[in-house]
Amino acid sequence: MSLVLKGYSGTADEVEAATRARRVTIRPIDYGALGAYSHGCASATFTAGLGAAALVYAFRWHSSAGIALIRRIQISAGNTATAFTAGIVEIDLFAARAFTTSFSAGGTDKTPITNDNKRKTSGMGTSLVTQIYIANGGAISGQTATLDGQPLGTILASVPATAGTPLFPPTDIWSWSAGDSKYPLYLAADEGFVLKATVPATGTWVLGVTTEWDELLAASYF
Amino acid sequence: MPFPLAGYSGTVDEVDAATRARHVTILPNDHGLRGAYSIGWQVSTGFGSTSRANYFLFKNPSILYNIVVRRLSVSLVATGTGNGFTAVEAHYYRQWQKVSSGGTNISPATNDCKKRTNMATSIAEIRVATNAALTLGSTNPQECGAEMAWYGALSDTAAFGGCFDTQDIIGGVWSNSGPVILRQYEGLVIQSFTQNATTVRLGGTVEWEEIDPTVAPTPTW
Repeated sequence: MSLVLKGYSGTADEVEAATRARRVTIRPIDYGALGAYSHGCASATFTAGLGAAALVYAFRWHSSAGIALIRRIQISAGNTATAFTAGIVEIDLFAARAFTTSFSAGGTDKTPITNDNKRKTSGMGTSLVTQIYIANGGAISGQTATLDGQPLGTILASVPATAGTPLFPPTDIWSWSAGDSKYPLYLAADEGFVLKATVPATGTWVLGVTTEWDELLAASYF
Repeated sequence: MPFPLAGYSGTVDEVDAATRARHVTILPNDHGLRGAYSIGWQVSTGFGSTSRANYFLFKNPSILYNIVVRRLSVSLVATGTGNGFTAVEAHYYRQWQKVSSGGTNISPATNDCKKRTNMATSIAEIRVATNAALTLGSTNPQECGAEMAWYGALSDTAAFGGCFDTQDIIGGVWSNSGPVILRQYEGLVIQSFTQNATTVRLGGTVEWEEIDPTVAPTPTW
Protein backbone atom coordinates (compact mmCIF):
# COMPACT_ATOMS: atom_id res chain seq x y z
CA MET A 1 0.00 0.00 0.00
CA SER A 2 1.32 3.42 -0.93
CA LEU A 3 1.65 6.06 1.73
CA VAL A 4 0.02 9.39 0.89
CA LEU A 5 1.70 12.39 2.47
CA LYS A 6 0.05 15.65 3.41
CA GLY A 7 1.29 19.05 4.44
CA TYR A 8 0.75 21.08 7.59
CA SER A 9 -2.62 22.39 6.36
CA GLY A 10 -3.85 18.98 5.33
CA THR A 11 -3.31 19.10 1.55
CA ALA A 12 -1.88 15.90 0.10
CA ASP A 13 0.94 16.51 -2.35
CA GLU A 14 0.91 15.22 -5.92
CA VAL A 15 3.13 12.95 -8.01
CA GLU A 16 3.08 13.41 -11.78
CA ALA A 17 1.59 10.48 -13.72
CA ALA A 18 4.04 10.32 -16.61
CA THR A 19 7.32 11.13 -14.88
CA ARG A 20 6.38 9.90 -11.39
CA ALA A 21 8.13 13.00 -10.01
CA ARG A 22 6.87 14.53 -6.78
CA ARG A 23 5.87 18.18 -7.03
CA VAL A 24 7.87 20.62 -4.96
CA THR A 25 8.13 24.37 -4.93
CA ILE A 26 11.31 26.16 -3.88
CA ARG A 27 10.79 28.53 -0.96
CA PRO A 28 13.16 31.26 0.19
CA ILE A 29 15.44 30.59 3.11
CA ASP A 30 13.64 31.08 6.42
CA TYR A 31 15.06 34.40 7.61
CA GLY A 32 13.10 34.38 10.87
CA ALA A 33 12.83 37.85 12.40
CA LEU A 34 15.45 39.33 10.08
CA GLY A 35 15.00 39.64 6.31
CA ALA A 36 16.06 39.78 2.68
CA TYR A 37 17.35 42.93 1.00
CA SER A 38 18.45 44.41 -2.29
CA HIS A 39 20.47 47.58 -2.65
CA GLY A 40 21.60 49.54 -5.69
CA CYS A 41 23.81 52.59 -5.84
CA ALA A 42 26.00 54.49 -8.27
CA SER A 43 29.29 56.26 -7.76
CA ALA A 44 29.89 59.87 -8.60
CA THR A 45 31.95 60.36 -11.78
CA PHE A 46 35.50 59.14 -11.25
CA THR A 47 38.11 61.68 -12.23
CA ALA A 48 40.89 60.56 -14.57
CA GLY A 49 43.98 58.99 -13.09
CA LEU A 50 42.47 56.64 -10.55
CA GLY A 51 45.28 54.55 -9.08
CA ALA A 52 45.57 50.85 -9.76
CA ALA A 53 43.53 48.51 -7.57
CA ALA A 54 41.60 51.42 -6.08
CA LEU A 55 38.92 50.60 -3.53
CA VAL A 56 35.60 51.75 -4.94
CA TYR A 57 32.81 49.97 -3.01
CA ALA A 58 32.49 48.39 0.44
CA PHE A 59 29.96 46.31 2.37
CA ARG A 60 30.65 45.81 6.09
CA TRP A 61 28.78 43.50 8.46
CA HIS A 62 29.34 44.10 12.19
CA SER A 63 26.42 42.46 13.95
CA SER A 64 27.03 39.43 16.11
CA ALA A 65 23.26 38.93 16.37
CA GLY A 66 23.02 37.59 12.86
CA ILE A 67 24.85 36.72 9.68
CA ALA A 68 24.63 38.01 6.13
CA LEU A 69 24.47 35.64 3.16
CA ILE A 70 25.53 37.47 0.00
CA ARG A 71 23.42 36.29 -2.92
CA ARG A 72 24.43 38.57 -5.76
CA ILE A 73 26.84 41.40 -6.52
CA GLN A 74 26.17 42.92 -9.91
CA ILE A 75 28.31 45.67 -11.39
CA SER A 76 27.94 47.93 -14.39
CA ALA A 77 30.14 50.78 -15.56
CA GLY A 78 30.30 53.30 -18.34
CA ASN A 79 32.75 55.84 -19.66
CA THR A 80 31.46 59.42 -19.52
CA ALA A 81 32.55 62.48 -21.53
CA THR A 82 36.32 61.97 -21.45
CA ALA A 83 37.64 58.93 -23.28
CA PHE A 84 40.11 56.47 -21.81
CA THR A 85 43.38 55.56 -23.37
CA ALA A 86 42.55 52.21 -24.98
CA GLY A 87 43.22 49.48 -22.44
CA ILE A 88 41.93 47.00 -19.90
CA VAL A 89 39.42 47.49 -17.10
CA GLU A 90 39.67 45.08 -14.18
CA ILE A 91 37.25 44.71 -11.28
CA ASP A 92 38.14 42.44 -8.34
CA LEU A 93 35.95 41.27 -5.47
CA PHE A 94 37.84 40.73 -2.20
CA ALA A 95 36.66 39.27 1.11
CA ALA A 96 37.40 41.66 4.00
CA ARG A 97 37.94 39.92 7.35
CA ALA A 98 38.74 41.41 10.80
CA PHE A 99 36.88 44.53 9.71
CA THR A 100 37.15 46.80 12.75
CA THR A 101 36.87 50.34 11.32
CA SER A 102 34.45 51.42 8.62
CA PHE A 103 35.37 53.49 5.56
CA SER A 104 35.35 57.20 6.28
CA ALA A 105 36.82 59.05 3.31
CA GLY A 106 36.33 59.35 -0.44
CA GLY A 107 32.82 58.00 -0.64
CA THR A 108 29.16 58.32 0.11
CA ASP A 109 27.41 56.33 2.82
CA LYS A 110 24.46 54.37 1.40
CA THR A 111 23.64 52.25 4.47
CA PRO A 112 19.93 51.31 4.67
CA ILE A 113 17.70 52.73 7.40
CA THR A 114 14.13 51.89 8.48
CA ASN A 115 12.41 50.22 5.51
CA ASP A 116 15.15 50.89 2.99
CA ASN A 117 15.95 48.00 0.67
CA LYS A 118 13.62 45.44 2.30
CA ARG A 119 12.14 42.93 -0.12
CA LYS A 120 8.99 42.83 2.01
CA THR A 121 7.92 45.70 4.20
CA SER A 122 6.14 43.79 6.92
CA GLY A 123 7.82 41.06 8.87
CA MET A 124 11.36 42.03 7.92
CA GLY A 125 13.59 43.98 10.24
CA THR A 126 15.61 47.04 9.36
CA SER A 127 18.81 45.76 7.82
CA LEU A 128 21.64 45.13 10.27
CA VAL A 129 24.31 45.94 7.68
CA THR A 130 26.83 48.31 9.24
CA GLN A 131 27.98 50.18 6.17
CA ILE A 132 27.51 50.31 2.42
CA TYR A 133 29.90 52.83 0.95
CA ILE A 134 30.60 53.83 -2.66
CA ALA A 135 33.23 56.12 -4.13
CA ASN A 136 32.40 59.72 -4.95
CA GLY A 137 35.05 60.29 -7.61
CA GLY A 138 38.22 58.68 -6.26
CA ALA A 139 39.35 55.81 -4.08
CA ILE A 140 37.65 55.22 -0.73
CA SER A 141 39.70 54.82 2.45
CA GLY A 142 39.83 55.12 6.24
CA GLN A 143 38.99 51.48 6.98
CA THR A 144 40.75 48.83 9.00
CA ALA A 145 40.23 45.37 7.53
CA THR A 146 42.25 42.40 6.34
CA LEU A 147 41.73 41.64 2.68
CA ASP A 148 42.38 38.15 1.33
CA GLY A 149 45.55 37.58 -0.64
CA GLN A 150 43.51 36.53 -3.66
CA PRO A 151 40.17 37.93 -4.87
CA LEU A 152 36.92 35.99 -4.74
CA GLY A 153 36.05 37.04 -8.27
CA THR A 154 37.54 38.93 -11.21
CA ILE A 155 36.13 40.51 -14.35
CA LEU A 156 38.17 41.90 -17.25
CA ALA A 157 36.98 44.01 -20.17
CA SER A 158 38.58 46.14 -22.84
CA VAL A 159 37.81 49.76 -23.60
CA PRO A 160 38.64 51.66 -26.78
CA ALA A 161 39.64 55.33 -26.92
CA THR A 162 36.12 56.49 -27.61
CA ALA A 163 34.14 58.64 -25.21
CA GLY A 164 30.83 57.23 -24.01
CA THR A 165 31.81 53.58 -24.31
CA PRO A 166 30.17 51.07 -21.96
CA LEU A 167 32.79 49.33 -19.78
CA PHE A 168 30.57 46.57 -18.42
CA PRO A 169 26.93 45.86 -19.07
CA PRO A 170 25.25 44.65 -15.84
CA THR A 171 27.43 41.67 -14.90
CA ASP A 172 27.37 39.40 -11.84
CA ILE A 173 30.74 39.25 -10.14
CA TRP A 174 29.07 37.14 -7.44
CA SER A 175 25.96 35.03 -7.77
CA TRP A 176 24.13 32.54 -5.55
CA SER A 177 20.61 31.80 -6.69
CA ALA A 178 17.62 30.25 -4.94
CA GLY A 179 17.99 26.91 -6.66
CA ASP A 180 21.72 26.71 -6.20
CA SER A 181 23.29 24.25 -3.79
CA LYS A 182 26.73 25.87 -3.75
CA TYR A 183 27.77 27.86 -0.72
CA PRO A 184 26.99 31.60 -0.47
CA LEU A 185 29.42 34.21 0.83
CA TYR A 186 28.81 33.99 4.59
CA LEU A 187 29.57 37.14 6.59
CA ALA A 188 29.94 36.82 10.36
CA ALA A 189 30.61 39.74 12.72
CA ASP A 190 33.16 42.25 11.38
CA GLU A 191 33.40 40.73 7.94
CA GLY A 192 32.52 42.19 4.58
CA PHE A 193 33.66 42.60 1.03
CA VAL A 194 35.13 45.32 -1.17
CA LEU A 195 35.45 45.99 -4.87
CA LYS A 196 38.71 47.17 -6.39
CA ALA A 197 39.02 48.77 -9.82
CA THR A 198 41.93 49.23 -12.21
CA VAL A 199 41.20 51.37 -15.29
CA PRO A 200 43.32 52.87 -18.09
CA ALA A 201 44.50 56.47 -18.02
CA THR A 202 42.65 59.67 -18.90
CA GLY A 203 39.06 58.47 -18.84
CA THR A 204 36.20 59.47 -16.58
CA TRP A 205 33.59 56.88 -15.64
CA VAL A 206 30.75 55.85 -13.36
CA LEU A 207 30.23 52.56 -11.48
CA GLY A 208 26.92 51.01 -10.47
CA VAL A 209 26.62 48.20 -7.90
CA THR A 210 23.61 46.11 -6.90
CA THR A 211 23.95 43.83 -3.88
CA GLU A 212 21.37 41.26 -2.75
CA TRP A 213 21.63 39.54 0.61
CA ASP A 214 19.72 37.67 3.33
CA GLU A 215 20.09 38.28 7.06
CA LEU A 216 19.58 35.30 9.38
CA LEU A 217 20.26 34.31 12.94
CA ALA A 218 23.51 32.37 12.87
CA ALA A 219 21.95 29.42 14.66
CA SER A 220 19.38 29.01 11.89
CA TYR A 221 22.00 28.31 9.20
CA PHE A 222 24.48 25.52 9.14
CA MET B 1 -5.40 8.42 4.81
CA PRO B 2 -2.70 11.02 4.10
CA PHE B 3 0.06 11.32 6.67
CA PRO B 4 1.89 14.52 7.63
CA LEU B 5 5.63 14.58 7.15
CA ALA B 6 7.78 16.08 9.91
CA GLY B 7 11.40 17.15 9.97
CA TYR B 8 14.11 16.29 12.50
CA SER B 9 12.87 18.93 14.94
CA GLY B 10 9.24 17.96 14.56
CA THR B 11 8.03 20.73 12.24
CA VAL B 12 5.54 19.51 9.65
CA ASP B 13 6.19 20.79 6.13
CA GLU B 14 3.54 22.44 3.99
CA VAL B 15 1.89 21.58 0.67
CA ASP B 16 0.31 24.34 -1.44
CA ALA B 17 -3.43 23.91 -1.87
CA ALA B 18 -3.74 24.76 -5.56
CA THR B 19 -0.64 23.12 -7.01
CA ARG B 20 -0.21 20.35 -4.42
CA ALA B 21 3.52 21.11 -4.44
CA ARG B 22 5.54 20.52 -1.28
CA HIS B 23 7.65 23.38 0.06
CA VAL B 24 11.39 22.83 -0.08
CA THR B 25 14.31 25.18 0.40
CA ILE B 26 17.69 24.52 -1.18
CA LEU B 27 20.68 24.51 1.16
CA PRO B 28 24.33 24.22 0.17
CA ASN B 29 25.85 20.78 -0.17
CA ASP B 30 27.33 19.47 3.07
CA HIS B 31 31.09 19.97 2.73
CA GLY B 32 31.84 18.19 5.98
CA LEU B 33 35.00 19.50 7.64
CA ARG B 34 36.38 21.18 4.53
CA GLY B 35 34.77 24.16 2.83
CA ALA B 36 33.64 26.18 -0.16
CA TYR B 37 35.88 28.63 -1.99
CA SER B 38 36.08 31.16 -4.80
CA ILE B 39 39.06 32.78 -6.52
CA GLY B 40 39.37 35.50 -9.12
CA TRP B 41 42.38 35.37 -11.45
CA GLN B 42 43.81 37.37 -14.31
CA VAL B 43 46.79 37.19 -16.64
CA SER B 44 48.57 40.35 -15.62
CA THR B 45 50.64 41.16 -18.72
CA GLY B 46 49.36 38.94 -21.48
CA PHE B 47 50.90 37.21 -24.46
CA GLY B 48 49.92 35.69 -27.76
CA SER B 49 50.39 32.25 -29.26
CA THR B 50 49.33 30.56 -32.48
CA SER B 51 49.27 27.19 -30.72
CA ARG B 52 47.41 26.22 -27.56
CA ALA B 53 49.12 27.86 -24.59
CA ASN B 54 48.40 27.32 -20.91
CA TYR B 55 47.00 30.47 -19.31
CA PHE B 56 45.53 29.10 -16.08
CA LEU B 57 45.57 25.84 -14.17
CA PHE B 58 43.57 24.45 -11.27
CA LYS B 59 44.55 21.10 -9.76
CA ASN B 60 43.73 18.85 -6.83
CA PRO B 61 47.00 17.59 -5.31
CA SER B 62 45.35 15.93 -2.30
CA ILE B 63 44.86 12.23 -1.76
CA LEU B 64 42.50 12.99 1.12
CA TYR B 65 39.97 15.34 -0.40
CA ASN B 66 37.99 15.65 -3.60
CA ILE B 67 37.21 18.92 -5.34
CA VAL B 68 33.80 19.69 -6.82
CA VAL B 69 34.05 22.52 -9.37
CA ARG B 70 30.90 24.61 -9.19
CA ARG B 71 31.69 27.35 -11.66
CA LEU B 72 34.49 28.44 -13.98
CA SER B 73 34.04 31.76 -15.76
CA VAL B 74 36.48 33.26 -18.23
CA SER B 75 36.86 36.49 -20.15
CA LEU B 76 39.39 37.17 -22.92
CA VAL B 77 40.61 40.61 -23.93
CA ALA B 78 42.87 41.35 -26.89
CA THR B 79 45.54 43.80 -25.87
CA GLY B 80 47.50 43.75 -29.13
CA THR B 81 46.65 44.46 -32.73
CA GLY B 82 45.57 41.68 -35.02
CA ASN B 83 42.29 40.23 -36.12
CA GLY B 84 41.50 36.60 -36.80
CA PHE B 85 40.35 33.41 -35.19
CA THR B 86 40.69 32.85 -31.45
CA ALA B 87 39.76 30.13 -28.99
CA VAL B 88 39.40 29.53 -25.25
CA GLU B 89 39.37 25.90 -24.18
CA ALA B 90 39.08 24.13 -20.83
CA HIS B 91 40.95 20.83 -20.74
CA TYR B 92 40.83 18.02 -18.20
CA TYR B 93 44.17 16.62 -17.09
CA ARG B 94 44.55 13.39 -15.14
CA GLN B 95 47.51 11.52 -13.60
CA TRP B 96 49.12 14.93 -13.27
CA GLN B 97 51.52 14.44 -10.40
CA LYS B 98 54.30 17.01 -10.67
CA VAL B 99 53.91 20.62 -9.59
CA SER B 100 53.70 23.02 -12.53
CA SER B 101 55.78 26.13 -13.13
CA GLY B 102 55.78 29.55 -14.73
CA GLY B 103 53.56 32.52 -14.08
CA THR B 104 52.39 33.16 -10.55
CA ASN B 105 51.34 30.66 -7.91
CA ILE B 106 48.04 31.95 -6.53
CA SER B 107 47.15 28.91 -4.44
CA PRO B 108 45.09 30.09 -1.46
CA ALA B 109 46.81 30.48 1.90
CA THR B 110 45.22 30.72 5.37
CA ASN B 111 41.82 32.44 4.94
CA ASP B 112 42.17 33.29 1.25
CA CYS B 113 39.15 32.53 -0.92
CA LYS B 114 37.00 31.00 1.83
CA LYS B 115 33.29 31.63 1.52
CA ARG B 116 33.09 31.41 5.31
CA THR B 117 36.02 32.23 7.56
CA ASN B 118 35.81 29.16 9.81
CA MET B 119 36.24 26.75 6.88
CA ALA B 120 39.50 24.87 6.37
CA THR B 121 42.34 26.34 4.32
CA SER B 122 42.02 25.26 0.70
CA ILE B 123 44.29 22.53 -0.69
CA ALA B 124 43.93 23.57 -4.36
CA GLU B 125 47.01 24.21 -6.53
CA ILE B 126 46.30 27.24 -8.71
CA ARG B 127 48.62 29.05 -11.08
CA VAL B 128 48.13 31.84 -13.62
CA ALA B 129 50.36 33.01 -16.46
CA THR B 130 51.83 36.49 -16.58
CA ASN B 131 53.60 37.02 -19.93
CA ALA B 132 54.33 33.45 -21.10
CA ALA B 133 52.65 30.08 -21.09
CA LEU B 134 52.59 27.93 -17.95
CA THR B 135 54.55 24.69 -18.00
CA LEU B 136 52.55 21.76 -16.71
CA GLY B 137 54.16 19.33 -14.29
CA SER B 138 55.60 16.71 -16.57
CA THR B 139 54.88 13.35 -14.96
CA ASN B 140 52.45 11.82 -17.35
CA PRO B 141 49.88 14.58 -17.57
CA GLN B 142 47.11 12.79 -19.40
CA GLU B 143 45.18 15.32 -21.39
CA CYS B 144 41.59 14.34 -21.91
CA GLY B 145 40.60 16.74 -24.64
CA ALA B 146 38.88 20.05 -24.81
CA GLU B 147 35.83 19.44 -22.69
CA MET B 148 34.49 22.94 -23.02
CA ALA B 149 35.44 25.53 -25.59
CA TRP B 150 34.57 28.79 -27.22
CA TYR B 151 35.68 29.75 -30.69
CA GLY B 152 35.32 33.22 -32.10
CA ALA B 153 36.99 36.02 -33.95
CA LEU B 154 38.88 39.08 -32.91
CA SER B 155 36.95 41.46 -35.06
CA ASP B 156 39.03 44.61 -34.92
CA THR B 157 42.46 45.43 -36.15
CA ALA B 158 42.76 47.98 -33.35
CA ALA B 159 44.20 46.97 -30.01
CA PHE B 160 41.63 46.32 -27.27
CA GLY B 161 39.04 45.77 -29.94
CA GLY B 162 37.91 42.19 -29.45
CA CYS B 163 37.05 40.02 -26.49
CA PHE B 164 34.90 37.35 -24.92
CA ASP B 165 32.92 39.00 -22.15
CA THR B 166 32.86 37.14 -18.84
CA GLN B 167 30.92 33.92 -19.31
CA ASP B 168 30.64 30.59 -17.54
CA ILE B 169 32.59 27.86 -19.29
CA ILE B 170 31.47 25.50 -16.50
CA GLY B 171 27.94 26.30 -15.40
CA GLY B 172 27.13 28.58 -12.52
CA VAL B 173 23.93 26.84 -11.47
CA TRP B 174 23.76 23.08 -11.62
CA SER B 175 21.21 21.26 -13.60
CA ASN B 176 20.89 17.60 -12.67
CA SER B 177 23.84 16.66 -14.83
CA GLY B 178 26.99 15.47 -13.10
CA PRO B 179 29.38 18.14 -11.84
CA VAL B 180 33.13 18.23 -12.50
CA ILE B 181 34.82 16.17 -9.78
CA LEU B 182 38.60 16.34 -9.37
CA ARG B 183 40.34 13.60 -7.42
CA GLN B 184 44.05 13.56 -6.60
CA TYR B 185 46.29 14.70 -9.46
CA GLU B 186 43.34 15.78 -11.59
CA GLY B 187 42.77 19.31 -12.79
CA LEU B 188 41.59 21.79 -15.34
CA VAL B 189 43.71 23.95 -17.63
CA ILE B 190 42.51 26.99 -19.55
CA GLN B 191 44.25 27.17 -22.91
CA SER B 192 43.97 29.76 -25.64
CA PHE B 193 45.41 30.58 -29.04
CA THR B 194 44.93 33.25 -31.64
CA GLN B 195 45.35 32.98 -35.39
CA ASN B 196 47.86 35.82 -35.60
CA ALA B 197 49.51 35.52 -32.18
CA THR B 198 47.58 38.55 -31.01
CA THR B 199 48.47 39.40 -27.43
CA VAL B 200 45.60 38.59 -25.11
CA ARG B 201 44.84 38.67 -21.41
CA LEU B 202 42.44 36.24 -19.77
CA GLY B 203 40.68 36.57 -16.45
CA GLY B 204 37.97 34.76 -14.59
CA THR B 205 36.58 33.15 -11.47
CA VAL B 206 36.54 29.60 -10.12
CA GLU B 207 34.16 28.43 -7.41
CA TRP B 208 34.69 25.04 -5.82
CA GLU B 209 34.03 22.85 -2.81
CA GLU B 210 36.41 20.49 -1.10
CA ILE B 211 34.85 17.29 0.14
CA ASP B 212 36.22 14.84 2.67
CA PRO B 213 34.65 11.64 1.36
CA THR B 214 35.00 9.99 4.73
CA VAL B 215 32.90 12.66 6.45
CA ALA B 216 30.53 14.30 3.98
CA PRO B 217 27.49 12.17 3.14
CA THR B 218 28.38 12.00 -0.56
CA PRO B 219 30.71 9.01 -0.73
CA THR B 220 30.68 8.80 -4.50
CA TRP B 221 32.41 12.18 -4.58
